[in-house]
Amino acid sequence: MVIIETVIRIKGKGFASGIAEGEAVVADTRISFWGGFDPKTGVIVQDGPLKGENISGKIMVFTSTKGSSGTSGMISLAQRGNNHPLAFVNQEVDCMAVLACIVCNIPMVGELEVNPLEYIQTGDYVRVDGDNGVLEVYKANIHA
Amino acid sequence: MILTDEQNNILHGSQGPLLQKYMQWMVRWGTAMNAERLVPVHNVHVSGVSAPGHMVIGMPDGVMKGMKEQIWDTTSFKVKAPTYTHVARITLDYADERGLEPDQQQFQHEIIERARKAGIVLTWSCAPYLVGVLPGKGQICAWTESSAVIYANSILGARTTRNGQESATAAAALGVVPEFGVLLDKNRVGEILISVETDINNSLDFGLAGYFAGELAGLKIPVFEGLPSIPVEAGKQISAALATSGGVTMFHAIGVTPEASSFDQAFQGGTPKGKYVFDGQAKKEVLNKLNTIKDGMIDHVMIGCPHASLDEIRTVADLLDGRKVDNNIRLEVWTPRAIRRTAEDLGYLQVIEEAGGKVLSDSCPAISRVSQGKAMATHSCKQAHYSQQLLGNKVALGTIEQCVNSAIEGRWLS
Repeated sequence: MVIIETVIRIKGKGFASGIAEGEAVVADTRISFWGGFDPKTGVIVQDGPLKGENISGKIMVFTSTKGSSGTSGMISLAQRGNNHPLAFVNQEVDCMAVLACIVCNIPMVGELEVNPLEYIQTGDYVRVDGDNGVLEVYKANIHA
Repeated sequence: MILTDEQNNILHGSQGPLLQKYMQWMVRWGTAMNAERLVPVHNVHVSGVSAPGHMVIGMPDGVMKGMKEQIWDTTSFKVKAPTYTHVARITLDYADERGLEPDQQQFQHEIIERARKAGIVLTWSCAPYLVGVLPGKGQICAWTESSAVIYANSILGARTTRNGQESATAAAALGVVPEFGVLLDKNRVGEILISVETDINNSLDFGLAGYFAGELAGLKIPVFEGLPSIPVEAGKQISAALATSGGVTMFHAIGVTPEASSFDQAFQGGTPKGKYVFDGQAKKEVLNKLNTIKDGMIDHVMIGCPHASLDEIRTVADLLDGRKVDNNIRLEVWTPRAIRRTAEDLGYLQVIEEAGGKVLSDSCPAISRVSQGKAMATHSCKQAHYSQQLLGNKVALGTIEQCVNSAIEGRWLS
């Protein structure tokens, strides 16, 4: 068995500094973290493709935040219970997501040269570099 | 970003660690959003000046303590701009009935006292414009409530980005905000066109149009063509719906809102990136999507999302006058404390209470996470949307008249 690891490197802009890596949770959806996310468990409760998904310790790759102004408050509360995502990767940038990542010291990248939703799948291992605005995706291709 | 000497000194700790942290947030946030400077803020609407409430119950030890420290911080300075509070996570009225522990009630009393000393005005409302908080055209604001942000930008012509509790608190403490987004003329340009081709008869219809447009707009600025002039109650509904289905910061309505006297002004001479039609069919689809009660069974009715205006309370009182809310239904009207007092002076409150309804202030079911049942009737697209996700309610959505008549009847009158 041969494992060939492919690394895709995508340039963009860092919106909140820091570096994080982990498993990605990916969806073409807009999320309101107040009302759409349970900070007590880290589970998305909003109707849509991520409903029921536990995002604690994951890298969130999604279209954008939306809705309530409580996104930063809810991510911050989740962080107190260690139920928070490790980083944000957004296709479109809402200043609420940026604020949440800054106050919680969670890295965030956006304005990527390609749509990240087309290059990353849930379960891929990704590395988010918010200092340099770089996203790396590790794809493990297993050949028997 | 270019900072003044004083701002730079605060960033380096000249006024202590709390203001240093707030300045760091503002500078990092502004830099990320391409702001070139910090500008004076005229009006702040701040959330989070409240005991933690039911939100933290069930979380690990230490969470409550951390939350309390953060809340303590929000009242640790004298505000540098007029600052008004968003809803609290608890209401001290009926606190025991709602299962709120005495230590949280005590903490709320302490925060109220500290907020007074900080110069924070305790409006406790998601709709500050209902109680005289009315920034004029061009005034720079830092408002939290997402629907009020849209109301301020679109209907009042004031200027505020979407804000979280942290940025609004920092704005109140520092007296400045980073200048980005809709604070600048160039970012107030309409982006998509929503052609309204159905009758807009009441506040509910405005809400449905907003919910439809928000889904399509995402973070963009929608421009409505064919919308009638907007009463304050309808302005609440369209703003709240846009901020629920989408991440909208402002909208224009051609011939109606202050920066859209014409198509060209709304789009600043450009063309829409997308055109959509809101017709009778689209209206029906939004209503069907939010209406999850099909058997007519309801157990509570919620009026006042965003908080009810005096005229909405009058409407509820007129409908209930001499009649009774069904024994199996709890009817709640949520409104700012100042309006509740006036409603009492005018006799509306007594009529509603005599009919078996309640008029409550400071919070709401979605914020306090206290539901009064499992099947809610409401007039608000926003409450309908969040009540299903947050409180697990089934929801019936209709006009205020439908809601109140259903409360009397004991079942949903569709």
